[in-house]
Amino acid sequence: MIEGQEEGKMEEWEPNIIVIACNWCTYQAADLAGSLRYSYPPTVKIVRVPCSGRVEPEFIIEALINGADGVLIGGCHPGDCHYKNGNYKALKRFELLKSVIEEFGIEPERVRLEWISGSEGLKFAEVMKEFNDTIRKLGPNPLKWKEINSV
Amino acid sequence: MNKFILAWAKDREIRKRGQCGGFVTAILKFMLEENIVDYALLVKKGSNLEYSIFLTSNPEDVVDCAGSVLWATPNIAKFIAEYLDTNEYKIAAVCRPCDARAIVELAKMNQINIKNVFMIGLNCSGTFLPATLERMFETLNIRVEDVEKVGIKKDRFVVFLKDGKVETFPLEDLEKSGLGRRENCRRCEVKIPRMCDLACGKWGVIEGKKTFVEICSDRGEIIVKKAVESGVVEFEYASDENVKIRDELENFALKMSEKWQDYYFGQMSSMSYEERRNYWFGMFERCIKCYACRDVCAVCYCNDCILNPWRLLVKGGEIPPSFSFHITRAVHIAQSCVNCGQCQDVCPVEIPLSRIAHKLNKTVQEIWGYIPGIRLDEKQPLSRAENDI
Repeated sequence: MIEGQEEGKMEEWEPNIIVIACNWCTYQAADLAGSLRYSYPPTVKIVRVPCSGRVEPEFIIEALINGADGVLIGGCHPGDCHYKNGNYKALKRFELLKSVIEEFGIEPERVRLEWISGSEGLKFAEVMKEFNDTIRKLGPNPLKWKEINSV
Repeated sequence: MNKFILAWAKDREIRKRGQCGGFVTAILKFMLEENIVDYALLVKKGSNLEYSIFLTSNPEDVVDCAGSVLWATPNIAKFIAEYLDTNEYKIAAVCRPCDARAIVELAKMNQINIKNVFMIGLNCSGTFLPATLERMFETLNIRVEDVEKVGIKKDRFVVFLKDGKVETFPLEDLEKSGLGRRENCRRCEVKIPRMCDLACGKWGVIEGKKTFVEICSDRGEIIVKKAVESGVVEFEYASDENVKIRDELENFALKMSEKWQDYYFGQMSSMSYEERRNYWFGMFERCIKCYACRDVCAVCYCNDCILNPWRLLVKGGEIPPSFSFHITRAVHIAQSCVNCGQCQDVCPVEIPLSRIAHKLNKTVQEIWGYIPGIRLDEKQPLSRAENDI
């Protein structure tokens, strides 16, 4: 590959962030952030799930392998889950997933779990900005580039 | 009854053929004869380095299976969960610590009715793969036909020859040259299966052909009492010295495991993220997606596994499979992995799967404080969703 091309590619690179949001809180917070005109990075793509307890580790793994640079799971604060204990389940799985991907050489900072309630529109916007910066610092997902190069 | 006893079979024939006094054989025979269990699950030695899992209801067959087989690595837990209906009939299973732990794990996941499985555990300081053993005999200039049995005594590999000679070799040197015990056995941290009903072994016996038995459950005690009453088994209480020797041997074996764990895990954690990626994804590129690791896994049980192609996570017909195949498998078994090493044994392209699974299990042990397969009343962390943040 020509050097200039690679550099050009790097400049073009924008983080690709998947947010898996709980229908009852984080998704509402995203809504609120919009109606309150808080801006958050356009690199964020939101997927709505009924509860953060629905998020299985394979969802995040699939996202990372298919080119996401970062994955954020948004759930209700502990004790506030609409289904009583979904967010506790999410936390357990998240702890597990984090140690697994670290062992395989994916930076654990690429995944994040955050409790954002429906009224925290500002927090949503701030967390997204912060996470966007983290991912920007980490650079593109190494798995994605590996796959493209090997083709 | 005291918790620690030294026991042996009264029957001369059984006593002669058993590894150390024939206690296990005598108990199994007794249980089948008295119809306490319907079947006994054993390992039968074949010619040379062959072995097979052997299920029988005939008490006479049990005697043929006497003696331990160090190159047998049967997947007892998977066998019970897959092929036997433990709600229908009662089984007595002879198992190593890893098998016993897997049975306990499966019982927690309602795959085995542990009330109907009587577990007789054997102390284990490691097993060999038949292929490795063959290579070992070759390098040590021993003919396979001459070998009566093999054993491990502290840090030495012992070969009993048919002409009565005994030869010993240092185990560590063998293992450093790539021979020796299976990799997971070197790292194993449960040497005495205290989760079984009876934990038997020769550790702690000072002289004579006797079995040191630790009685770990109430029903284990009842069975031993019955066997003693009907005169099948004779016993004496273990002295403090016996127990001390046993503890010393266990600690010695555990220390050896610790050393190997430091070696393997230290190697893995000293790698940078990039090295890890290159190592593991390089390994996974060799995968031919035979599904053997999934099928053999002792703690996998889903009828409709997420890795099946119709579940759409792993694309059908794609080789090597997407890396999510391996990472998903690692996530799914991490909390329950008992380090039985079956996944690594069956892998046709020799990916060190048990190493990563064991390492991950150790990591989550630190987070959750849950050691798989030790206590039946302890729930698995992922199936527990209480408010403990």
